[in-house]
Amino acid sequence: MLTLRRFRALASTYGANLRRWPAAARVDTEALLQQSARARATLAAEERLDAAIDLAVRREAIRLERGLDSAAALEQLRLAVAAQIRRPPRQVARLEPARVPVPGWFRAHLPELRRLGLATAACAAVAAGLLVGARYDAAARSGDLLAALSFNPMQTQVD
Amino acid sequence: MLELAYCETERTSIGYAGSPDDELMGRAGRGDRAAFDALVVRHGSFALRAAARLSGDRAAAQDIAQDALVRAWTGASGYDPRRASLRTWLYRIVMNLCIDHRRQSRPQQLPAHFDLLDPAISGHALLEDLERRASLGHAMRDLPLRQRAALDLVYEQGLSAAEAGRSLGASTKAIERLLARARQSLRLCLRLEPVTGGPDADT
Repeated sequence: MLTLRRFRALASTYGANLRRWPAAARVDTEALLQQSARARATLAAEERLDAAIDLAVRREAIRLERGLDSAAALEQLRLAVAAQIRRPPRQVARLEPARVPVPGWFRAHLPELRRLGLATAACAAVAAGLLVGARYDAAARSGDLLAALSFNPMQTQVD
Repeated sequence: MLELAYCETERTSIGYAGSPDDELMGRAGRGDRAAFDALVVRHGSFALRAAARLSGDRAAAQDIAQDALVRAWTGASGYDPRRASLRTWLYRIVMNLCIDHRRQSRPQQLPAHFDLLDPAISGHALLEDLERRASLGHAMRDLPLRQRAALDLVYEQGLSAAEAGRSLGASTKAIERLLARARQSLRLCLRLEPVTGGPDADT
């Protein structure tokens, strides 16, 4: 059953023209409209905005598309595109990054794989740091300072 | 030289006039320029109109459509007809280019008196009407491009929200949010009362 809240949400999204509404909601919508004066009032309020949007969209389309539907405009476009794609591949390829064939599964899961790769690298760095620290610490506890400081074997401790 | 090369393309592209988009894109992906030219003939006007509506800039529409089609050519080998129709794919390329264009371009001044005037309307009402239409036109152009695209696809092209979502690479819910926000912006522009629930009563 369609609630009034849901009906209002749909009306504010799709407007008063029920042909734009999701097909699944239309039957319940019509039933609600028969029963509810509030629902009918809501739809009437949306009709005014619909009319304005329809008019604005059409006016914009007329203003912007004037002449673009002409054969001359299409011909100009054809010539320009034909000239561009006849250029040597390296010139045309600047417009697009090089494509490396990637299996579909990898392409679909690329974001997750990237995150996994970064996480793995971070864990490896932490593990390496812990290992170096543990070896240093172990060498220091065993008194084998020279082993720990093996980068300077000639240095001796003077009492 | 260019014209001679073009004529050569024109003669052979006519032979592809009845071929489906998928076949032509497959051929284009293997370097067949005549096949791609047939696609330009078939979808070029669509690309021009989409570029104009989405960018709001008629002068830039030719360049945007051209760039979109060249991108379609370079990406033809990667096009998968199972994921989207060619028009849907092309529309998305156009939209992305329009987003780039909008970032780079500066706001345009509204041309004076571009709307037709109704002589039957009184002076005061005419001024109100002009102001309202001008502000609504501005409001349309100032909408975020994805909201504008959602309005264009659902209102102008008559697609369902699901179909519009496939064109934009978005879910149906996302399209509904875009439509609701666009309508709310335009409602505020027209100073119409919002559609709200008070205490909701199912009657």
